[in-house]
Amino acid sequence: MTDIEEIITEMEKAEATLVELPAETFNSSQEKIVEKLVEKNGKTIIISVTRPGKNILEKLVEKGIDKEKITVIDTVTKTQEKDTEDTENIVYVDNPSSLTEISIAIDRKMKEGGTVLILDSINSLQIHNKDRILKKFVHGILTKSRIKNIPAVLLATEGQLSPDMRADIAQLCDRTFSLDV
Amino acid sequence: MDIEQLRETLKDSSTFMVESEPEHHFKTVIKTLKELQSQGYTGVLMSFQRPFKSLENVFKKEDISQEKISVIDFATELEDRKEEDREKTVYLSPETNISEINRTIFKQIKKLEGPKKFLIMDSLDTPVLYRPREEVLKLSEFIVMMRNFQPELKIIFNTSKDSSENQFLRNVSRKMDRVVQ
Repeated sequence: MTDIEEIITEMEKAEATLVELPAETFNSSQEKIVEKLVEKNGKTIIISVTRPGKNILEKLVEKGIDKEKITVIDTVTKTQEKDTEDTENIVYVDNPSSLTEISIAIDRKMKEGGTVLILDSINSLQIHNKDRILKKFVHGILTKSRIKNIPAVLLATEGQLSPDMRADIAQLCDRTFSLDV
Repeated sequence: MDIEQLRETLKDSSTFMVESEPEHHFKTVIKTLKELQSQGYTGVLMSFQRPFKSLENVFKKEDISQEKISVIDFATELEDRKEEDREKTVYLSPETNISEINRTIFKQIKKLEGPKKFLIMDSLDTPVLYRPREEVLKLSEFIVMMRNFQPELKIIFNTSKDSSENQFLRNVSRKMDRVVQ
């Protein structure tokens, strides 16, 4: 599978999808996927472990996307600026290890009308959390999204998840895609 | 595992483990359920990975008769949701005491109609996220012992290749007639 459009179309048929992106083009591919999903969906919840929510929001708005369609759960900013206050479109979580806090924020945003959930990315979360805890978290958010009928998309860098972590996450998903360089 | 291999295994073995590629894990569970129903079996599905709400959609899509399958749903309660048990659906937390799980399975199996019965566990790896391996091993032991009371029962455990629980799974597989890939 090489085409982002094709992947997006296929993703819509699944409740939970793992998308592995090549390291060389991770940022640009991730931006395109997020952009397409936001375009096609009502309200997108993005869990960001690598980029500050403010940057994500600014970039998407620059591309002409309605700010109202985006909610970022930002796990990065508070690691630098502890006193950052939540805004209408960004929920600031203490750090990427605060999985309970992230989970509560997801719940809240789902209740407020989220229609798709993007986790960016599994690799980054793996750096900050023990494998078993992370797998439980992923199982938990996928269960949430299945019950609420909100598709979830998990992003990962290709070849960077350990084989057992990849196997454990992939078996929880309905579809797995790899994007070629 | 192709369909011929599955048919042959169903014919020759009473207790077996299916080890699939992580990407095909759930499809393999569904394929097995469809084959069992086409051979006239009724059975119990222990679902650790997916909530019943999600399974219900899959059953409809895949033409799996809900009349002939009873689901023990270990996922929904992860969401702190209390659902009322129905005749063919029982909701348990993945942290439920092993003896209680065992008794629930036995009760559900006893309710099944017809001489051809099965018990299928969607994943042996997922319960290990919620409880010690020794307890899951004990549960698998209890399940295998059910054949003493229900000699016609087919017992099927599912797992994924490359799972982080390989060592533990080897201990479980010793109790099986066969491991198919």
